[in-house]
Amino acid sequence: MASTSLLLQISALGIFIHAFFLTISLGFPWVIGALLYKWWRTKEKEYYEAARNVTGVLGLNFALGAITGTLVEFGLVQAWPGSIFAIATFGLIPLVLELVAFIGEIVLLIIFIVTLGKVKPVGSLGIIVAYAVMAALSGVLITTVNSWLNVPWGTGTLASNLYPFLPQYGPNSVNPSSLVTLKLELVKNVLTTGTGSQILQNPNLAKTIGITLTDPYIAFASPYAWASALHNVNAGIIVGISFALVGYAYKFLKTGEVKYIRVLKAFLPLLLILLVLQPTLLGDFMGKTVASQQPTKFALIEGASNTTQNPLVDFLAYGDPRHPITGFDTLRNQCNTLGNTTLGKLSALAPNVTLGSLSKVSLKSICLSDLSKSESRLPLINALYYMKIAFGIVDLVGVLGLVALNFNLGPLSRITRRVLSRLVERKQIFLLSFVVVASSIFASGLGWFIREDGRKPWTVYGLLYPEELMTSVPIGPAFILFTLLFVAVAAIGIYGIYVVSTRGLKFVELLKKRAGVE
Amino acid sequence: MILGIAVIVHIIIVNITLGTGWISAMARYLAWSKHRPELEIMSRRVFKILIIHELFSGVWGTIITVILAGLFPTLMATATDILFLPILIALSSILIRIPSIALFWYTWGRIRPCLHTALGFVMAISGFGVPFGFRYIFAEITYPYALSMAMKGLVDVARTAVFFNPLYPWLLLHTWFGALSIGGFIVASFFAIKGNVNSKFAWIGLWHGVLFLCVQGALGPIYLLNLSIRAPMLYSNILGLSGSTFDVAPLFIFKLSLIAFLVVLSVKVWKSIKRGSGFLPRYTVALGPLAIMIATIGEFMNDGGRYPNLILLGNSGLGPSEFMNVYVQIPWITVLGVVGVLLGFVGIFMVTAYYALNRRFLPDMPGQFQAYPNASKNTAD
Repeated sequence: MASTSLLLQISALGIFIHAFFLTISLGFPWVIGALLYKWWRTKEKEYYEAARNVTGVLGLNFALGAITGTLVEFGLVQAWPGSIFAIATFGLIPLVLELVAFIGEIVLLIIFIVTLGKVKPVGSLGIIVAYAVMAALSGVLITTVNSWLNVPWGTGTLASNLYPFLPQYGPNSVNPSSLVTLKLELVKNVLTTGTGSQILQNPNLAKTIGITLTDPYIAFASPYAWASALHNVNAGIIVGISFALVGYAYKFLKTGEVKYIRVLKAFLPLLLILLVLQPTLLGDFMGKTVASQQPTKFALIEGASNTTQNPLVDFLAYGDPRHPITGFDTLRNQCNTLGNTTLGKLSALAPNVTLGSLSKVSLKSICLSDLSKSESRLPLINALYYMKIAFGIVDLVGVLGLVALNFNLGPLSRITRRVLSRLVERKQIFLLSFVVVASSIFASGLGWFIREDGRKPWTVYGLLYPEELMTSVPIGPAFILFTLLFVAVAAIGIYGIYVVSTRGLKFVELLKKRAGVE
Repeated sequence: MILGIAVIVHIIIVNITLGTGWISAMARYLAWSKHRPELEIMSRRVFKILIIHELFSGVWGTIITVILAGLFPTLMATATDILFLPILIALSSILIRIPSIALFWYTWGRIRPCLHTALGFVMAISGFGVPFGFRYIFAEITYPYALSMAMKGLVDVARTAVFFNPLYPWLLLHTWFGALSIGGFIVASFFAIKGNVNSKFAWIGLWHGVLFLCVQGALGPIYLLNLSIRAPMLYSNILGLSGSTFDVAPLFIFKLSLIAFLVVLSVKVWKSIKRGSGFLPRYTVALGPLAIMIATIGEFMNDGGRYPNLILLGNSGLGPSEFMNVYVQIPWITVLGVVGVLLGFVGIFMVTAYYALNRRFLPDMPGQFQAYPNASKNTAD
């Protein structure tokens, strides 16, 4: 049997590696778009050259992003075959639609690459904007599926029947009997074999479970999905643009050529706008949704072992400065309302499942036990959340500083120059750009970690545990080798991106002469 | 039908990319080792065919994954368990293949030639690892050697036994050499296109295509013979024998006719081209499309020929309905609409790709010489 924690760590590693490439796929089209716009308006060739250079990196990066994404997706069903059930139900329509976005990305990127310089700038601008839309749409749709794991929208009161502190998750679009049958079969199999997912291989059980979901579009109705999509995609774009920013700042540091600053200034205002939107509008929406939909995660974030008051947080989270932050003590009290109810009561919904001694297990004990598992993460999640907030602030300050250095913002520009007066201009720009990229990576990376780890001990919040979804295949050397290969390829790919973006073509002229083409 | 369309589109494109990848890597190697820089130009031009198709074939691979997981969850759950290791092999190969393609293209002229040549071989060989893994699935659904053990409860044994499916080696060799042959013919056709004519390069493609077609002449019948023993239903359907459930014999005859036509055409071109120093007839252009048509028909017979079953069990089988998604009423209008859009994108892509290839929008030389539109005028060869 595989180790759950090892598999979780491997999956997290894969997702974080993929995230590196996808941020570039999300952010670079905006950079290219800004450069093409400048080229179109000014006719200055340095903007075209920069757009071409960034396109080269985007092309290589896209290949790496596509491959790591495909492998993360395939790896998901390999390592967590229980997720096939989610893909076949709530995730079906988002993932089917995502195929359109993905294929659109590829077609548009190829069209963009082969026509850049061959069609008018405005034409290229149109293509790259269309590509950016497809890339963002792909992100939105994948996030929708992930959001369903966080907040299983459409399951109505099913989760709150097991955990009374959970809210109702939208309308009831499931057949409770089917979902309970699945859950109980998974539980039984975990207890006998250690994993549960292999039951999905049984066609007869599939027929017994039968129609589970009545509205296959329900995942789109989740407010959590919308908040997450906006928040995550914007974060990805910010990180991606920040990579381009530090790249050009580094070139300026090394060469002192002013053209790199002009290039950088083409997309810097865009970065500032996105960074201002992130906490004020999108982060606020996200935070309010977490507070209302994921009480355990919100308690972890706020370090609320006990119910407490914090007028600022209360106002931001609930819109009411007197609304208390619900702590684990209150959540535990709500578990007590389950009284003496047992799993046997649930089996009434699944008459085909024989529970045996399991029927006597108390729901209250499960509720309390899961709360304890969640609460054990409190110090970590609380600390990481506030680190994330701090990085976000640093990120915003860094970009503001860069804007103040490169544009005339009156007193703000003067103050910034005075603060950084000990450094020469090259170092000022690079230092601030480095701060921006580092803080944006940490802020978004920590945000994703909190999103994933904060919903534990469940994979599908309030409904399914990781053990119920993981593979029954032992994690042997082949799987470890695959993971190492994944990491190695990603590392070589990143080095390749560095080579493409920095190194000149030393052999080409020689080759052309020898080939007799010149 | 949706799964069938996705598999066939995927396999057509994959055949092109595997074959052209190998020829490009070989040309790059010879350019470096024999100091023949014109072969480097050939390598790069052939590689352009691959680049245009590869990501697209990857997308169709993802489409197949989503279709399998979304529409056939029971089958997918079984495959990810019993065929865990073969799938892992295929994934590992994809993992190496796609980045190495991008690196091969973008590092051209940026790293040492010997290193670049080695990268070319990594790119080419890793491509063959993909069918090496995935063809185990096709072997198992045609002759469920390991799956039958799993059905008897011997799941642990089945996970290893999957590597010993007796149908697999012949299916794999048939696939590999088919791809190599197609690659050769595609290259020959590519260098016969108006404005891109090059007898020497077309000759290299032609002899690759013919050589591997000869090998296929032996492998095809051996595979068919194996089907007669391991998968009699598919064998009957291909040959239209009594007891067939879906007679594809007319297609088989059509395929054999096309092969004969391909052989005749190849001989004529062979005689005319004189190892690259002679005349390249216009009809050389037809070689690649002919080879692709043959492969498409072959794949359709191999997959569609099992109708109405998805998994064959000797003279019987299990239909797709056994594995279909029963958890949700599939919104077919949306799903079919998406398939329509995907096929539309294929159309747009094909037009763009061939227009780009024809107009040489992808440079024969690396990007620096395309640094500014005016500069591109100087790079035309």
